[in-house]
Amino acid sequence: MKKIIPIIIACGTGLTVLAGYFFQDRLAPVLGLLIHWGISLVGLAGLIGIAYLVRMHFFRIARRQKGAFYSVIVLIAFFFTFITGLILTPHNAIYRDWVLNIQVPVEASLLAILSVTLLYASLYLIRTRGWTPMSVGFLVGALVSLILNLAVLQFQPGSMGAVWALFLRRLPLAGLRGILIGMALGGLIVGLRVFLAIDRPYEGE
Amino acid sequence: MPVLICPECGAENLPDAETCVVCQASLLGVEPADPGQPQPDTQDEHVPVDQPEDDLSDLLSSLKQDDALDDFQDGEEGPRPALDIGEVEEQEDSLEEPEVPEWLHRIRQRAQTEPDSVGDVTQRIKAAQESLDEQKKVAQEQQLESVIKKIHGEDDGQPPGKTEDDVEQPAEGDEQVVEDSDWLTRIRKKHRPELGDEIQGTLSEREGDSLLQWLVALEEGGSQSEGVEGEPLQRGDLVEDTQEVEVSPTPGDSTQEIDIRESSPAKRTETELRITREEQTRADQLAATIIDEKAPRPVREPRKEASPQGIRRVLGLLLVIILSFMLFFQCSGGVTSGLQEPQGVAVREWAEDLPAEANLLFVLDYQAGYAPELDLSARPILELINDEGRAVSILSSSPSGSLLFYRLLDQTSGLDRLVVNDLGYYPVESFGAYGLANQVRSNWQITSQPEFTKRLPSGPFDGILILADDYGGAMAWIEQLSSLAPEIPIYLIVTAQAAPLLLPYWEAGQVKGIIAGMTNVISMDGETAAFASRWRAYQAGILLVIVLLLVGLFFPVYHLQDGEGGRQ
Repeated sequence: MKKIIPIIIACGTGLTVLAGYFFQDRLAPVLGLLIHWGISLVGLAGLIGIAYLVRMHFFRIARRQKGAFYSVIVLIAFFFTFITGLILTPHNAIYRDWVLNIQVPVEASLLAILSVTLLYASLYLIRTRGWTPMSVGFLVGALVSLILNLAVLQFQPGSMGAVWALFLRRLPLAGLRGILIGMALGGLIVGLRVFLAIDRPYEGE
Repeated sequence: MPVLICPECGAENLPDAETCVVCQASLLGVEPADPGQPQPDTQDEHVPVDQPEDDLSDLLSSLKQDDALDDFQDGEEGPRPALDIGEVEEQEDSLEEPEVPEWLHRIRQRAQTEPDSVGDVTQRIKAAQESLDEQKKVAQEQQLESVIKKIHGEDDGQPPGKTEDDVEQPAEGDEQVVEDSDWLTRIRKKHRPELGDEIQGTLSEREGDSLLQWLVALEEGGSQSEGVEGEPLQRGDLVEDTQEVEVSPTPGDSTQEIDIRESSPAKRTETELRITREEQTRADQLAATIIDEKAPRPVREPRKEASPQGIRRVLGLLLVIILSFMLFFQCSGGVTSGLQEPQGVAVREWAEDLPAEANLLFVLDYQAGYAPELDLSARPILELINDEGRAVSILSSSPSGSLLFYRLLDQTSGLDRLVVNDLGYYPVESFGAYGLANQVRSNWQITSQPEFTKRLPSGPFDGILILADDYGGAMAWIEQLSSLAPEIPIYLIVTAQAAPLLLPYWEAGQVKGIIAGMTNVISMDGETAAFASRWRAYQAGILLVIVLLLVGLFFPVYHLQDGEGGRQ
């Protein structure tokens, strides 16, 4: 009984959402209610995560553990942003600049590091795998893509160069379609397994 | 009637005869005797023929002695019957006295010619005697085999101590000792005929020491036998070379002594020296390793090489200089137009043809790190949309989405001209897309449902513009909205990395137009002064990556690996 109830709830919800695609006019309010419940639960989970993070940093400061200084900075920034946001609201230019002028450079720097890491990983791949057809294909594909993104090669519409450029741009679409079809089939299989109670993620399995 | 019996031939004569009628021997002094009366038994050899069959001990004894003597005279080839020592001495004495009574001689002759002449009792006795001899022979052979198997370490299935006890402990009587000596003597003669009388005598002297030792010597050949001869074993040695082993499940109930002399020092030394090839190989490797470690080596001078950290710093500094140069030194004027992508042109045309009262929804699904790229891509479209008093709705599926959009509007002066309806933050893209599409189709309400301060708009949209940095979030929006509300046109402004996976949706018609990255923008609008410097920096960055890729391929970069202390 302890296992049957979650299965019934999951299957019932799945059936209702699935039926919403076919009987949208009749089930739209019910589905809206389910969506709101789901969003509320996810928001509550976010609040719990924030509370856990604050608690962890508080404990780190109280126990004078390693990195307690950074925890102090995190807590000060968090409470300042939180209180300021409650007072000024996101529409305020000062509050907006306060948040984004910190967040944007930090995330952009992380992305720059990521690009350099990917570059080095591609070099390491060539060195470890050697000059195999796969590594050569990867190298040639990366170089061609980068050169095309430079937009220095100008082709007149209808010329052979434009046709080649169009071919090279469309070449990845074949593989991308295969990836998308695979993802769709995978999602379908996962949904069916949950719907048929073969996989029960709500039980931690 | 009394008669005179001739002392020579035994013939009977008349009482008054002076000579024998048969042999003419003198009968003077012979006392007359009555043949009807039994004569007194005065000598052993005069055994009466008509003696009762129940009392045949003397006869059997004489027959036994005769057989034994015959076997002994035949060269001691066959099994010898068991005889007591006293009987053997008597037999030897009898050999010195070859006189055989006449009656016995006659009996033997008759027995040889007529087998039936021997009585039934005598035949039974002979058969029993032969059977006894056969049994003894079999038992002796079994003992010999068990002793040999024990020497070879085999399990003969018999109690291990039986043979040893029989051989080394002649405490069961002299008769058993004589028996063992007998068959042992025959075995020695048969297997070792080359040994002289001296060795035979020596071995005979050791009969009481160790039969097992002699058998071991017999198995190991002459060289070993010499060693055995040189060091006669004592009883004390046997005691030292044996150990007590329990053969009963109950401790102490039954124990026996097992000879462990095979693990003598000489044998142990031979076993230790016998090593396999693998062991020899390992020993050689170990020896080589030890020698190699102890070998003197020249002191290696630490060689100063170009530090990879220095190379990195140089490259980083070069990159910063190039990008800064591109950013601060703007190129004005040179407007170039690239190849216009049809998906980008469709977005521009949709934005230009929007009516003033059109209801628009902006979906913000990108992180702050991608804001510079998306701002450059979305700015031309927003400038076309920024009509005075236009109402737009924003719905964010990233935490900072609304903040980023407000700043974008502020940069395009649209914040003052547009009426923005913030629908809030939806942490899961699918929830927002599914709820939005169903809200559009809803034509009835649940009466007891509480009212939300921010709820999804129920009115139809003239267009949905999705700003996304990743294909995952954009896919969720596209799939849900295109299936539940296919009549609403969807347009995308995405980063260059998300565009390849979203192009199939544009080819399938689920998306009406896509602007992907700065390349699409500049291909449509040309190189304007607004983002000429960023475009130059973007080109310089790509060029630098190409150069580093080629240099790294043909000039491998060395780096130190922590923990290994070596270079790769």
